[in-house]
Order: sequence, then C-alpha cells, then structure tokens
Amino acid sequence: MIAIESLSFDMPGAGKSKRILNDINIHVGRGECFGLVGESGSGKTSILKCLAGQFKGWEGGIAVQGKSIADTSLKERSNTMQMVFQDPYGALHPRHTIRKILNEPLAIKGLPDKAERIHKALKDVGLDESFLPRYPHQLSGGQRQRVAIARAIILDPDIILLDEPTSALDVSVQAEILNLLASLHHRRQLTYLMVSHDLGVIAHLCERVAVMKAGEVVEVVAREDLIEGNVTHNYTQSLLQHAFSRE
Amino acid sequence: MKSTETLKNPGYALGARSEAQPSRMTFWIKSFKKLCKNPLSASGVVIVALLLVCAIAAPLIATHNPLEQDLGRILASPSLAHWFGTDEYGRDIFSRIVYGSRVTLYIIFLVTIIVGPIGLLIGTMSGYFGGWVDSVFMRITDIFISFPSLVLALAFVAALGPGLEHAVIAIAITSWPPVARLARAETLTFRNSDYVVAAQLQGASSFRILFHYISLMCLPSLIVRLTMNMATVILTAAALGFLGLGAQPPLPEWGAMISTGRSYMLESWWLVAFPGAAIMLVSLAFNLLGDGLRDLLDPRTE
Amino acid sequence: MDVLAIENLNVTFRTDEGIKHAVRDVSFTLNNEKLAIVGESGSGKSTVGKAILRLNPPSTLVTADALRFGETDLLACNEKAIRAIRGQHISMIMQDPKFSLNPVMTVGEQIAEALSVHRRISKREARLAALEMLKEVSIADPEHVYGQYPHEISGGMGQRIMIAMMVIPEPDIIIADEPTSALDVSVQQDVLNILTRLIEKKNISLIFISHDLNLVKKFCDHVLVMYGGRVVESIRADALSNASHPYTRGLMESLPSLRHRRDVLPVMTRDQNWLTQDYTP
Repeated sequence: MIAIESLSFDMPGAGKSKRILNDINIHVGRGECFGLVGESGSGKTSILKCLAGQFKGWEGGIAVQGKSIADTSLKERSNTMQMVFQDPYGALHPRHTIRKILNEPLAIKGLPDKAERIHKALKDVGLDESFLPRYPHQLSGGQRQRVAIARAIILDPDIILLDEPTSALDVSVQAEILNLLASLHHRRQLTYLMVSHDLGVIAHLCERVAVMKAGEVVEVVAREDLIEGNVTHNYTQSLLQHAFSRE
Repeated sequence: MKSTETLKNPGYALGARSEAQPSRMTFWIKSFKKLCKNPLSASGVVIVALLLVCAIAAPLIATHNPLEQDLGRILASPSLAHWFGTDEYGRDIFSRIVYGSRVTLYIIFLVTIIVGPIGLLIGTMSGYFGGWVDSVFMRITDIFISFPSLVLALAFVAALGPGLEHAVIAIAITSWPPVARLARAETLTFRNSDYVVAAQLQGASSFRILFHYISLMCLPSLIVRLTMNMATVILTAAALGFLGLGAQPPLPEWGAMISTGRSYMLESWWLVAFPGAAIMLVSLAFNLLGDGLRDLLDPRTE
Repeated sequence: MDVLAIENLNVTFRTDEGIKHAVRDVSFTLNNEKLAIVGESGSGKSTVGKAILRLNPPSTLVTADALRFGETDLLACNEKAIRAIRGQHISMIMQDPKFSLNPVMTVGEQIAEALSVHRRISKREARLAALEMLKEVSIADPEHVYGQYPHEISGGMGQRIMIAMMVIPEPDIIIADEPTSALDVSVQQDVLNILTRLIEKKNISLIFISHDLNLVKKFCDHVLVMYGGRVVESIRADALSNASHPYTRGLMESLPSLRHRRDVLPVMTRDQNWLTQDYTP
C-alpha cells in the first residue's frame, strides 16, 4: 500500500542543509496498522510530511498504491490518503463551523449527497448533528479530534496518516480516541501509518513498528516481539525498558 | 438560526455537555458590549455613529441649505440662527459640516472598498505562494511605500485632474501597500498551519485555500488596520481638498472649507475652527475605534 | 510544624462568561515529602500550585481558611513579602525551559543571578557556586555550558539548568509543574533522578504537579488526585494500585499498556457526584 524505498531528505537551512532522513525503507501492507516510534528529532514526523507533500525535494522513492507520489498531485492522492494531526486546536480552522469543515472536502470534490455523507462521518466518530453549527473553540479536545478524524474519513480514503493523534489529549480521552481509531480501522479496512513517541500507544494500535533514531530506521519489530521484548537493537531495548519501567 | 437544539448525548462522546448554543446575534451583541466597556473606544463608537447619523439624516439635521448663498449675511459670527456662523457667501457652516460628513464618508467608503480587497489579494498571494510571486509583489509594494503618500497622491491628481473621484483613486493608490504588507505577514503565520495542510491534502486549489482559509484569518487584523487607515484617509482627503485638488466648490468638503476660510481666518475664526474640529474629531474617533477593535479582534493582545 | 499547610483553598476566576470556580475546598499539608497533585487538564492542579505563590492573574480570587508556609500566612503577605518568599523559600519549575529561561543571558549567569539576588555574595563566589551546581545536575562540562545561551542547549539540558536555578538558593519547597512532560522518555528519567537526589540532599519538600499517574506512582510519596477543582482522592503513592475512587482507577486503567494489551481500552464514565461528594481520607 505504501512503499518507501531508500528515502533521504535534507532540510535546507541557512548555509548548510541538514540531513534529517537517511535511507528509509518501509513497506506497509493493505489494511495494516504501521507505527513509527522515536524520540523528538528522530525524523518520524518528517516521513509523514514527505508523504503529505509538505517536504519537497526528497530523494528515493515513495509509492502509494503502486504509484509514485512524485508523479501524482496532492489532489489526485486526496481520495487515497488523509491525515490526522497532533494538535486538535490547530488542525481545525478556527473560523469555520464543523459543518463547513466537513463540507469542504465534499465541495472540493463536488460530491453529491453532502448532508448524508456528513451525517455518516459524524456518526462513525461518535458525534451527532448538534455539533454542526458549532465552532471548534466550543468543543473539547477529544471532540475536536473526533471532528478531525471525521474530516479525514469523509472522502473514504484507504490510508490515514496519524501524527501523534493522542499526545495532546488527556489519558481518559486518549483511550476513547484510540478505541475509535481501532474500530474505524476494523470497520473500514483502513491502512494506518501512525507516528508516536509513546510505545504503549503504538503497541496498542499497530501490528508492526519501525523504531527510528537520528533520521534512520534502526529496527522494524512486530507487536508480539515488542511486548515479549524480542528486540535486537540496543536503542529499541532501552526504549522498551523505559516504557516497561513506567508501568 | 436553529435555536431549539436537542443534544443527544451518546455515552461515548465524552464531555458532550449540552451547553446552550450561543447564536451569531448574541456574539455580535457581546462583542459590541465589550467594545463599549472601554471608555475610549466607546467614545470612538459614539462619534462614528454620530457621523453616520449626520450623513444619513443630513437634510433633517441641517438647519439651512448648504449651498444656498445669502449675501446679506456674510461672515456672520455663531448665533442662534447660524450655530457655527456663516462663510464668505453667507452659507450656513453648520449645515455645510453636516453635509460634508457625506463627502467624508463617501471618500472613506470608496477608499476602503478599493484598498481592502487589493491589499488582501496581493498580500495573501505573495505570502502564500512565496518565491518569485512574493518578490515581484513586494518590490512593487516597496516602490509605492518609498514615496511620501501625499506627494504621490498629488502627482496622481495632477495627472488625472482635480475632482472627488480622482482624489479617491489617488488616496487608494497610496494606501494599499501597508495593508498588503500586513496581509502578507499574517499569511506567513498561517500558511503552514495544520488546517491549511489538511485542505491541501483534500485537494483544495490554491485559490480556494486563499479565499476560504487564509483570508478569513487575515480579516480581523485587516479590519483593524483599515479602521485606523480611515483616519489617515480623512486627513489626506482634507489635505487634497485644502490644496484645491479634491472636492470642487461648491461641494461642502471639510478640507476645502478650511482652505477657502483661510483668507478670512483672522477676523472670522469660525470659518476654519469648526471644519478643523470636525476633521480632528472624526479622525481621532476612527483611531480610537481601531484601537478598540484591535483589543477585541486580535488574540495576541490578550 | 508542617512546612506548608493549606485548608479549604478556593480559587475563582472572573471571565467573560461569568465566574469560574477553578479550585474548590482543597486542603493538604506538606511535610518534607514528595507530594504529587495529579489530574487531567482543567482539573485545577496548576492553579493550586500558582495560588501558593500567588502567581495567578489579577482577576483571580484566592480564599482559604489557612494558607500557611511555616509560620507565615501567605494570604496576609503583601506583594513585597511574597516576593521575598518566591525563589528564596518556595520556587517553581515550569513545564518548558524554553519559555522560562532568559534568552539573552548565558545559562550560567542566570544560575549565578538566582543565587545573588537572595544572598549577598561576590560575583566570583556566585560563579563558583553556579559551576558547582551545574556539576550537581550532572552536566559533564560545566565551564562550557556556563557560557552557553538557552537556544544552544537541548530540552533535557534546559530542564536540568532550571532545576539548578531553582535549587541553588536552597528553598524549602519546590513546586514543579509538569517538569518532564515536554521531554523524551529517556531524558525524563535522568531529570527526575537528578531532582530526587538534590531535594533529598538539601532537604527540600516537593510539590509535583503532573497528569501522569504512572510516573507519580514511582516518584512521589503521596498523591492527591484532582477532578473538577476538587481533590477526589488522597492516597499514598505505593497504594495507588488499590485506589478506591473510580476516577483514579479509571485514569490508571485507561492507559494503554505494553504488558497487558487489551483490544478495547476501558473508557471512564464520569459521575456528576464526583464534583460534589467529599472524599474520605
């Protein structure tokens, strides 16, 4: 579904450019939930930004559904791939009502039955239509993240990129959103590529995890191996140790 | 506006508290109340409101016909019959000032609806696209900014010929660059925000993002800027009128009134003092209103 | 004598929407221990910390039956008296060192200044003490770091420097407001270890404000769980696994766990009664 081959990216800076991704190879299968875990500055979010078209000028190959994204525009990809962001405050336009936010993707695509689709997307994320005339600032963090998820699924994409979708939320709300993501994954046969710094969250949702450090993937581990501690790389071991010691 | 909304609270939608939905109307009323809380901005609101009332109801408020000459009563000092006195042709100054508010508002309105969209369009486009678009637009803006605005306006009026419409065009041409710069600066802060990225991922065109996403976010500071700008517009219009390049006689324009009154200033102070006070008061009011709006609209000042 | 005694602390804010009651009847005593205040966003945990140092914005009303620091009544203090207490006797570590450090001063100078405002010492002595302190917070090359500016150091290093700044005047109480939540997990542990070592060495009491129950369970002695401005449970940290309040239990259970993965995470149903019922200590 997503094939990333020897992806490298240099962040252009003042004077010298800085290599933030180095020779990344990741393959995500259809319907899989794949995790990227690492500490800040490890480059995990940069991979999503390359996929989402925010970073340009990377080297290597990224293919989505067999088609290289260098050859397709964001508009063509919009039916396949959508994204959920970390900050539920910044991800929704503060001066758009929830109705407008959910209507926008449909209007851009010129799809019929807008009201029906909005109703269904809202229902899928556990909200009802009373939220439609509200503005994002009238919603709680969890509700906002639900709206952001509704916006992502309203075009029926196959892939959703999740950029730390729960790290700005309280733990009890995090549990709800994780449950919602899991059930959507199951119901809609979605493919997830999820970024998180929290091994617990990643292991809860993802079947396979790429552990990243300093712009490189050090290891790709299956969930079972992660839980049992069957990891080979030192860095993964230390991450696991920290995660276990906190429980 | 749906006022009867029942909020079904599904068990899993946590925190879906059924608070009353504040309608758009109450939002405006609340903002207005907030604006009036500060005595300075409240006085700005009052004076601007007075200006509006004067302009709309000029025939009802004015005591005389502003154009009617009465050569028997020239240069009469303020009295019960002529509250602000009369000018060198015996015209009632109070009535001329009341009708002059129409001219002033006309200029402000026209300049604002020309400058706002132009500044917004050029600013957001250069901010959003960056690269050569930005370079070209901003260099043009720099050129306009590097001239003193009155001199530039004078040049334009000199080229086009004197007249109210030409003055409006000249003022508009000199006052869009700061608006464009502001819009560009605002755009730079929003163009990489998550909701813009989300719109791009949905396949929204650049112009859709500019109009539906970025412009909306630029509007509050732009409105503040334009309101403050109105004070400058009034002053520039008065200056052009004073130099004889704006509104042409016998149109009661405040700047032109001062200009003609200047010759009689020493004996008949009221010819200059009242229009002068009107200009000062109104431009002060727009400044105060702008300050109040900034406190209200700009989240950074909180 | 308790280091800090608080009885029925209430904090209300005046907002455009009306009066907001952020903290209701919070009471606790602090006695040479590590006390954690845990809660979710909006629970009022940070407001309690700020109320002790009277750092709340001016539109805030703070009332209490007692708010005593040793012998001093903090509520009766005027602005000058409270400033003498801030820093020297009670200091505060904020969440993000980026916003707490002065960007145009080297970090070493900031530590030295933290000491010299409270004590009359020479510049040289202050510098030596600051270097000593940098060593104490496990910074390998104190001389080098002393001359660095805040933007040149990492988040973990910045938080160590904040700790150094707060500990150097040897206060009686440190209030740490989410000191590690902006840091990576591996760095978190180091910072907490340093903090523990220093406060134990210098006999400082700690109020640790956090949203992270797991962290608090290992790190603190006693835990206050706050919900909706109230303390719903007050419990020893090692007894947290047997917490009685459904909110505390809900918080513990809703965390995804590596050891015991569940397909569906338990979700809390909040009870209106939690906002009104008193907890039984």
